[in-house]
Amino acid sequence: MDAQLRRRVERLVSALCDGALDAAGQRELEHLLRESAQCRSVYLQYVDMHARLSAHPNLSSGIPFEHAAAPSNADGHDDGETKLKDSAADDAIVLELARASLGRLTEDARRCDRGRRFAVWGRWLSLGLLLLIGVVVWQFYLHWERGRFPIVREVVGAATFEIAGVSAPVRIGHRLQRGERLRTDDEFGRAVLQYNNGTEIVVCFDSQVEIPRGESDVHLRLVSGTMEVDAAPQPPDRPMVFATDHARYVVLGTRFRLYRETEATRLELGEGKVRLEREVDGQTLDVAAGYVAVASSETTPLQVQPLASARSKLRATLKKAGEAVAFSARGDVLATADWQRGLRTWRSDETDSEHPLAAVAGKIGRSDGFVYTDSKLVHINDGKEGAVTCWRPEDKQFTVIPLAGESPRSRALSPDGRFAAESDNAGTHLYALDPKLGRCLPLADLPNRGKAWCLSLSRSAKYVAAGYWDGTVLVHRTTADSETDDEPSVESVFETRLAHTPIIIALAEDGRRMAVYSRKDGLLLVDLTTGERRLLWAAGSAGVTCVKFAADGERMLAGLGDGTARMWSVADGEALLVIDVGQAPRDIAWSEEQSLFVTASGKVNLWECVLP
Amino acid sequence: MEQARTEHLVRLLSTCQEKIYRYVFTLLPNEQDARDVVQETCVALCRKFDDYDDSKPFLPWAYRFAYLEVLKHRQQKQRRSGILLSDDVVELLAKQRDEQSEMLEARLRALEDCLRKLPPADCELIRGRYHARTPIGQLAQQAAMSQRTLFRNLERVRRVLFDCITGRLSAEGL
Repeated sequence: MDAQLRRRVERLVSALCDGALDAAGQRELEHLLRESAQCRSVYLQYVDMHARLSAHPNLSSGIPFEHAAAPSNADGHDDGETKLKDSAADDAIVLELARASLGRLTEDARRCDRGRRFAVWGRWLSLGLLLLIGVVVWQFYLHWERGRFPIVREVVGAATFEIAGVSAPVRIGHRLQRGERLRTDDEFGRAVLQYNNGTEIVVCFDSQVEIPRGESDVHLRLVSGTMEVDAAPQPPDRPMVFATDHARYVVLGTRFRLYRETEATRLELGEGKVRLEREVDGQTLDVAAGYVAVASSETTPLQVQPLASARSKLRATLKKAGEAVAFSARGDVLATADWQRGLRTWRSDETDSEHPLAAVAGKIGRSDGFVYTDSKLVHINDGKEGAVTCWRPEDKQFTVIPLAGESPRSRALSPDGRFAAESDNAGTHLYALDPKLGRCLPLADLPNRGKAWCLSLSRSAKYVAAGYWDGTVLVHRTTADSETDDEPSVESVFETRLAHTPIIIALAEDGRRMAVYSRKDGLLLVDLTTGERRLLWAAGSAGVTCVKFAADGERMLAGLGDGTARMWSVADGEALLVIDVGQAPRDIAWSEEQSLFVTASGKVNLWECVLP
Repeated sequence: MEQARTEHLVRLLSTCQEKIYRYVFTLLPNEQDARDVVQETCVALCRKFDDYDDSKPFLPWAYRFAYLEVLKHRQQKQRRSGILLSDDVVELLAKQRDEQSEMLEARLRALEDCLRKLPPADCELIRGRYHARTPIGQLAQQAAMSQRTLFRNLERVRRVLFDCITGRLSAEGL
C-alpha cells in the first residue's frame, strides 16, 4: 500500500477518533474505505487500537502510567469500572458484582421491554381506537348524509330522474343524490319519496323536484308542479327544509302541500306548523294547520288565509265501482259507471260496497259525461266510435245510441241527459237523444271553428260551450229545447280568449257561469253575463282533472292531480272544502240534499260534508 | 433464566464485552454511541440467551446482535444527524473485520509492549486522553499547546504505536 495513502488514512482515522473529522474528511474517508480493502484494513487496525485504549484505559498493568491505580475521574472519585479492575484478583467478587450488575441490567431490560411493549400496545390501541372512532364517525356521517336524501318508495305511471343531463327511468328503491332531479310525466303519474326519518313526499303528476347542490340545509326543492309532504316530527335544531324559487319552508313535523305555481308558491298546511321564509325579502311567516299562504316574487306582506271552512269525513268506499259518478235528483241514489263492468246504482247512505241496488254489466267505454236523471242513467263515452248508453235500473239491458261523428275530439251530455254534443273535423254537432227508439236526432251544428278540445252543455242544451286549440272559448245559445219542428237556432253569446288551449270546460246548469281550465290560465270561473273572470286555481302546479257545478249552480267542484277534491263558492270564489282523496279524481259529484261529496278514481269515495 | 445459565452469560459478557465494544466502535466510531449500542446489545443478548447454542463460539453470535444493533442505532441517529459512515461502508467493514479478527487480536496483544516503549511525554498524553478521559480543551491547556497541536501529537503517538505493533508482528512472522 502506498505509504502516502496510508498516512492519509491514518490522519483521517485519527481525526475521527478525536472527533475532529469534518464533513469533507468524512466523505474522503468513506470514499477510501469503500474503494480500498487496504484502507479498510488500516482503518480497522487503527480504530481497534483506539477502541482498546478507550475501552480499557487501565490495561496498563505494566504501562508506566504514573497514576495507573489512582482515581480515574477528573473529580477524584473512583468509578465502578476501575474498582472492578482493581479488585480483579478476586474473581468471586467480580462475578458477584457482574451478576448484580447484569441483574439490574436484565431487570432494566425487562422493564424497558415491558415499557416498550406497553408503548407498542398503547400505540396500536390508540391507532385502533382512532380507526374505530373514524369508522363510527364515518358511518354516522353516511347515515346522516343518506338520511338527508329520500328513496323512491312508489312510482305510479312514468317518472324519470335526471342528473348531469342524463335521464333514466326511476326505479323503486333508488335513492336520490345531490343534483338529481325527479320528474313525473304521466297525467296520473306520481312518485312517493321516503326519508329515513319516516317523512313521505308525494310528487304529483307533471311535477319536478330536485336535491339542490349548493344548499346544504335544503332537503328538497320543488321546481314545478306539486308535492305533498307528510313530515315526521323533526328535531328543533335540525328541521327539514324545503324550497321553491319563492320561499323556503322550515318544517317541524307536519302535513302540507306545496304548489309551485307560475307566479308564486302556494302552501296548504294540513297539520302542524311550517315557517315560511320568503326568498325575495326574507320575510317570515308561521303558517298553522288549516291555513294557506302564498309566496311570490312580490314584496307585498305575507298573509295566511283559511284553507277551507267546511269539514269532510269519509263515509264509505265503493271498491272498483268506476270512474264516473252521478247523483239522482234527490241525492238518495248514487250511480256509478265503470268502463268495463257497466253501470250500477247504490244507496247514498249505503256503506256496503258489495251489494249495489241495481247493476247492468257490459263495456260502455270511458266516460265523457254521465248523468242520472228522470230515473235513468245516461252515459256518453270518449271513444273513436261514440255512443250514448242509456239504462233504467229496472231494465236488464242498457240501450246504446250510436253517434255519427268521425274521430271526434270531445263529447258532452246535457245535465238532463236529453242532449248530446260532439266535435269533429266537420264541426260541433248537437243531438237530441231518443232512448226509446235507440237513436239520436241531429239538431244543429255550431259554426265550424275546427275541432273543439272540450265541450259542455247546460240544461236542455240551452247553452253550448266549446274550447278550441288556440285558446278561444265560445258559448252559443240554442233553441234545441223548443217544441217547434223548426231547426234550432244557434247564436253566439260569449267569446273569450285564453292563453292556452282549454282542456276542461263546464257550464252551470242555468248557463250563467262557466268554469274553464287550461295549463297556463289555471282554473277560471267566468260570469257569462258580465264576462268577469275569477281565478280559483293558479296554473303551474297541480292540474285539474275534472270540473262540475252543483245542481243549484252555487258551488263549483273540481278534482286535482295532487289527489285532492275541492269545492268553491261561486258567488265569491271562497274555498269551501278540500278533501284529501289520495288519488286524482276522474269524476266528482255533489248532493246538496245528502251533503255528500263523491269522488271517483276507480274506487268511489263518499264524503260526508258539513258546510258553513 | 436459570441461575447457572445467568452465571454463564455473566462470564461470557465479562469476557467479551470489551471485544463487543471494539467491534461496535469500528462500525460506529463514536464512543458514546458505541457504548449505547453495546448496552443495547447486552440487553438483546440477555433476552435471546436461551436461544444460544453453547457448542458454538459466543463472539460471532454476539457480533450478529451487535451488528443489528449498530444498524438500528444508525437508523435512529440518521434521523438526528447525517454524519455517519454509509451503509455499504459499514457492511464492508463488518465483513472485513470478521476476516481479520485474529490479526486484530494479535495486534492488541502487542499493544501493551508498545505502550511501555513510549516516551514519558507520550505516555502522559495517552494517559490523559484515554485513562483520565480529560477533555481535549483541558488537555491542550495542561500540555500548554493548541488543540491543533494536541491532535497532531495524538496522531503521531498513535502512528508510533501502530508502527510499533506492525513491526512486532512482522518480527513474529505474522
